[in-house]
Amino acid sequence: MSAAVEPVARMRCPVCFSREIDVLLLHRAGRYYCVKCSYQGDVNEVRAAYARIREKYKNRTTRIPFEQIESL
Amino acid sequence: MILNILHRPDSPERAHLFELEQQYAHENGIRTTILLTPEALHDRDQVATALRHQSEFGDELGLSFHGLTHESIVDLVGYGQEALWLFSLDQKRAIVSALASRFREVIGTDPLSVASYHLDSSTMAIVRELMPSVVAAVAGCFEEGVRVFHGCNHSWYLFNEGMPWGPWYPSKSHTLRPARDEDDWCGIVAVPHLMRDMVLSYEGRNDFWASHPPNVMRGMGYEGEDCPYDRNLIDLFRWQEQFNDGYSYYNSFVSTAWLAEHHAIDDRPEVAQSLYRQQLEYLGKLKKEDSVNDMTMSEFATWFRSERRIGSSELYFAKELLYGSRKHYVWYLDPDQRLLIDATQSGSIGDLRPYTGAVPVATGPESEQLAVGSYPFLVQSQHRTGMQNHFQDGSRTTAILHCGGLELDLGTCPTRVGAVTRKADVTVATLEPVTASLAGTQLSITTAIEIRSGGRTRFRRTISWEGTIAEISLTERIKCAPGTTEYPERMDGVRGAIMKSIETTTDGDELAPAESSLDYGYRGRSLEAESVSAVRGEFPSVNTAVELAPADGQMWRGLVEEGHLYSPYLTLSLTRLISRDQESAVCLQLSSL
Repeated sequence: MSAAVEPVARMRCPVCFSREIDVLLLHRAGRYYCVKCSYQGDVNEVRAAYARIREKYKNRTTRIPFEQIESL
Repeated sequence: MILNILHRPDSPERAHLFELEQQYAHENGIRTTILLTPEALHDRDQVATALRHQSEFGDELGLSFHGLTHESIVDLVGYGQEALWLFSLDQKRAIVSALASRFREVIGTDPLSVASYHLDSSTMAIVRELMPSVVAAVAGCFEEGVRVFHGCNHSWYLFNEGMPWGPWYPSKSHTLRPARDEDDWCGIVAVPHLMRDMVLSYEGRNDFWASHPPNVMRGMGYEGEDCPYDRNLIDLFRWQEQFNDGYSYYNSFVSTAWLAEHHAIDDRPEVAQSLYRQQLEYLGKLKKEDSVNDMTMSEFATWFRSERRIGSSELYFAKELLYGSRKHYVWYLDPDQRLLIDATQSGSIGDLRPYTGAVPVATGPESEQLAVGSYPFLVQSQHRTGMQNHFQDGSRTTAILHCGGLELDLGTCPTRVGAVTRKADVTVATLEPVTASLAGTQLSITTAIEIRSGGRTRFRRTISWEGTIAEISLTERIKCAPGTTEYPERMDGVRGAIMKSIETTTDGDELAPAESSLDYGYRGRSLEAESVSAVRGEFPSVNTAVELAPADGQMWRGLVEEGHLYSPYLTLSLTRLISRDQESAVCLQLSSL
């Protein structure tokens, strides 16, 4: 058996993350895959999935001034 | 707002990051409390840095009980693990004693402050005994438990649900329960490990949404190198001053591991460093404007003892910041109860911790609870179903209207908190009126929830409508399930009862209230009676009795419903007919058994 499975330190599975579970993706031959679910993809697909996850946080780039908290 | 900035040096390989975060704080005029881990206490350079910063900037040096995998601990007790609160009693004592000695040896004084993600009651007593100098402790992580256990692949054994969200006086028998009085107090002022988003840490993982920029990165609530949410959360805590005698508290506790490459952050460490720097810059700006007062932990403990009475109530008016949902919750806490009012469900209680039962809990191998240090709930709508979504509903309170053979559950009627008023003896949350249609009639429902000390919560509602309908049936209900996690716990000893109104003999003598009752046996039975004085549930596992009683002088019909193994709850209901614009009121009363 080859031992050429390289853990990638900073890429979590976007499917598991959507369930609020942190699972590190493993990496083989340019593809990333998850050991907890069936997700697999290349780095661009993973990053695109992250971007979609962020979309639900509609205020992620919005500064809410202190004065507006009263009416929030 | 009072501010504590806490730093935790650990590995010598990350000493540069400890110095970096100290630099961020000092550049912004903020003093820190440096909580040294066993690893740092064995690193001459980091000790020297800490001592220099104590002398130069007025920082405080304390002790962190994190990093108990260090060889000094392994040599002492035979193995290492992160959680002091999960060692056996003799090991807790040995570790606390050894760290007290080490601290004294290298720092030259005894610590005034300590930190742990959780300090159970047995560990707290050991700290008090072996480190009498300690006046302040980081002693719990608000609502950390089931969700984070799942999120960390069932490998993070920190169960801290049901605690105060801000600083508190821990009781002797359960660290997470606020003390009733001086005798009940363990002797140390506690602060939470981070300030949490009081909406999202109830609805999901608490560790994504907190006063910790890299945690927010973990939750992906940022974009590029910008995270306005960090500053929005600070301001929402500042805004709470109006509800708590002008007092609000904030802390941040970012350890060096979060400023390095981290397994739970999918981005460059430089981004985490930048966001942490931005957070401290904003806090430094607020300090310059006199909106923030930075203290060390022991200074805060002194202030807290002087300004906040043991037994005080606390309130947090939570507004959702990140999704833009405009959701509101109100959190209330005193030594008798912690409860959560969910405005999106027309004032349903979504979480109820009956502190009045004063359940003792210590964690560790000798304890019945083992790793679960949470204070148990009677209602938890996230873990135990809440609103019906599949089979039946679960634990929650609600009101249900009936008219023309149709039903309206107010839990389906979203609204917002219109006003919160705080007086010495009562807190009132008034919701904005809800409009809804029932059997072709447009209704307008106003709800006010009054909370008093002694475990009393009163629901007042007024229903208005146009048309020919004379009366509408109103049911007020609480569905209870004692527990600490999402899984049902045994209902052994649970008892339901109906208390009939006091009757008078022909001679005018009062008779004791008649009572009918059932012992819980998962058999789906019920008790029903007209004109009741209360419906009652008794829950030995939380040492608490719950009574739902009329509070408007009207005649209410009572119903007690036993559940079964597919719906393991005890439901207490009161029902009466209500006429147009008439106010109804029922009182939920907690007491110890």
